[in-house]
Amino acid sequence: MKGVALARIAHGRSGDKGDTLNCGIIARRPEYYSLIAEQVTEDRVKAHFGDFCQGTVKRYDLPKIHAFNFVLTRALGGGGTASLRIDPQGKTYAAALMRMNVQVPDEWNI
Amino acid sequence: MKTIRIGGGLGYWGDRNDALLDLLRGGPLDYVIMDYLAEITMSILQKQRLKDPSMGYAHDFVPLVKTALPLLRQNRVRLIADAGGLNPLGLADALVAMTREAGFPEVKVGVVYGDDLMPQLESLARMGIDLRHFETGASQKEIPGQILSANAYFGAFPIAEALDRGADIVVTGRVNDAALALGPMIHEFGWEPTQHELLAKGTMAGHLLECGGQASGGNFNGGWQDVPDLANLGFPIGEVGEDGSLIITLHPGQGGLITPAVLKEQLLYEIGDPAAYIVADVISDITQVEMEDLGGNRVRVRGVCGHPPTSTYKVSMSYEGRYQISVGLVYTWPDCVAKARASADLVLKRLEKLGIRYRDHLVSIFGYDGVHGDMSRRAEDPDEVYLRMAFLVDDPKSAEKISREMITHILCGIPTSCGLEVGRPTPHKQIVYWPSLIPKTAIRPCVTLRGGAE
Repeated sequence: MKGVALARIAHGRSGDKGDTLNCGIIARRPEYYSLIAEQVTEDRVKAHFGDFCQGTVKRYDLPKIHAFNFVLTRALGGGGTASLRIDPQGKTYAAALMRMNVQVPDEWNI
Repeated sequence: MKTIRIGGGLGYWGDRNDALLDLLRGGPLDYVIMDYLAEITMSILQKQRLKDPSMGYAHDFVPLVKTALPLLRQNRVRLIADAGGLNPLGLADALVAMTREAGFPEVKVGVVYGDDLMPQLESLARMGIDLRHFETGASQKEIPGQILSANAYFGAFPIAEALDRGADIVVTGRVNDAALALGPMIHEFGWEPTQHELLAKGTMAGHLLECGGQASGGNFNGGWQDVPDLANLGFPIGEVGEDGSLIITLHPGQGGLITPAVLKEQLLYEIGDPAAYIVADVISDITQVEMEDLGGNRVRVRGVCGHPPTSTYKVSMSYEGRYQISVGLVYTWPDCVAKARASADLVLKRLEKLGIRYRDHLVSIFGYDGVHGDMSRRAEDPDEVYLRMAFLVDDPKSAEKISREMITHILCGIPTSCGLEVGRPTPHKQIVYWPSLIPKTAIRPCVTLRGGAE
């Protein structure tokens, strides 16, 4: 196995609802889906966001489009215009999640 | 099978204005929907309406429709927009005046209103309705600032009614974004409130179209390098059948890209539990959605399920918060990160010495870790960084003092700094959201028609 950034096997888009952040994460190929399901867990995502997420992380699975929706509560510093952050709507946070390290088989040519 | 073609012509107030004309020129369509209302938009409109009661809607919608009117009429395309904001009747009157002046007096404008709860807040309270915070459960009485706006999210049936009554253009106040597209489907196909499966399919079609270019290659994280011609980005089109079948596509010859990957990003955009996407008309379940690439910028979407709606409308209220000011300076090599950190410490010390108080603050070093904090790679010895300090204060005077203090650091502080923009930053008042629910029995949508030849 070799370690790569999640960005190599997935892409995503994030957005807000108040102080709640959601990250839609999509496997770049169907065969990557189960590996992501195994490794990109709620606990790992919570740890990855650290102080940025003061609430909970919930993962929802969409198997037929090989995608996941992560919902992070209290994750935008108050949200909307009530946050001191530069990205209070969380537009860039799916990209931040893409830095997470995942272990993939050596033979995967990515 | 009867099929209609709906274009998604605008994703928010401020989005590309020429997209509507490109949609109308690019090929056949039956409807164009335009979504103007983000959460923040309602409070901006409220401020405008307080200054001038005839305002409160997206004023640039009128000249835009004027430009598009000959094409709308010639191609028999109907337009549906939530541009009415807090004053949909005012917008309808302005539209009618414009269509008469422009030589199209036969145009009928449908209006959906009644979502604005500001005039009803007292009577609702007398009815014993407490607009409790959706997440915390706190009572409406605990809202700590002046309420700026309060709107219910209506569904698609009032829009369908306006179309049934012959409207060529429908303007609304607050409706859920997807309802703009579901309205014409209900009108064309005669879908009933109990046909949850169809309403859910139509709602998710609307969800895919409501953000305009974000469903045709704009803001595409999965391969932005592969999206052709973003300068001429064609906005997405939904081909919807009366059985709820859906193909998303583009006009031929326009920029952009429609693939399953592009649509998956939009499908998951700003959703919560995919088994329960809740709007006024229906609860949609997208956990079993499938997408099929038909090639040539055509993707079939299927597998959406529906369940009966809840007994409440979503309500979005906003109130005035405290003041916020962000200040900053650019620092350059050598040791720019250390300099930015030292400068932040120095600013805080100076504020303490000057007795300037703040409730909260945030120090960010862009170019290093300012956007994503501990998730960042943190390059060693970058060439330049931007130090941003954001403060939450009680009054504009404190904000002003912080703004003044920051520029003194160019001569009195840590070396090799320069400003980012001309002039000093100005504070803004925070607007805070208070999401809530209201029983559907407590309020009702109103539909009326304006204009048309006498």
